[in-house]
Amino acid sequence: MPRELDPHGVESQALLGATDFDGARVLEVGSGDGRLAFRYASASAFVVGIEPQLNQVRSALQACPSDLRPRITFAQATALAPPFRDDAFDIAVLAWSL
Amino acid sequence: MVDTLGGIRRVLATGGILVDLRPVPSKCPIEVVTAEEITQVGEADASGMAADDAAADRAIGDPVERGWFLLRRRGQFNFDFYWDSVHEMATFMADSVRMKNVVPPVADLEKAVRGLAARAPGRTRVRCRRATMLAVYHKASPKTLD
Repeated sequence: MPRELDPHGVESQALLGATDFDGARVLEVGSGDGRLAFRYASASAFVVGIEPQLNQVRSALQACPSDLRPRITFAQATALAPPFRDDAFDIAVLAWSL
Repeated sequence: MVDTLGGIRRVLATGGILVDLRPVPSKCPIEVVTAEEITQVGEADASGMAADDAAADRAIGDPVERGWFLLRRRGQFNFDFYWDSVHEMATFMADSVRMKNVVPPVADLEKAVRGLAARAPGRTRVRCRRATMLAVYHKASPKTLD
């Protein structure tokens, strides 16, 4: 792994500048190790990260900062049949997953 | 892919936002970063995923044509990877599915890094910049589709 990824937060700035995460219910598709979700979760109402690879889900759960745990959930799932009710989210982030 | 976006459309509230974030197939400059200067010493090829990127464009293009999503904005930024040595970078590149074919050879890169490090005090790092695309759509309301 690189020593540092996007240390200046350019990706976060681009994402947070693109839409308003404040109080939003967010679904992240392809959440991987959670790196991206950790950068915007504090502004959101809650985040659900879905990721098909179980080892990545485990990594995300382990890496999740304690202050973000009340508002982030990671689950093994794909977007083909997302296990959520209609209209459950305000924002969907396709994180390198298309 | 349309199935994927159909599922996302279902769980996204009307007027909700869809963000598509992904790397752009391109050449990625490899640079040496010291306290005094940033110098390009090589590049990695991230264009090998062009077919996947085109497929992703089609995947989002179809729902847009159907009127499910409306494009609000699209832009690019550089996503930076930093390593402490060429060796670390080469190890990462060897496993990377997106970035391949580093030029010049690692030995030449290491020589270039040593030369630049000798000229500058402090920490020397190796950086690779990958172009990344961010597009924002909003879910169209049924009224919009009429």
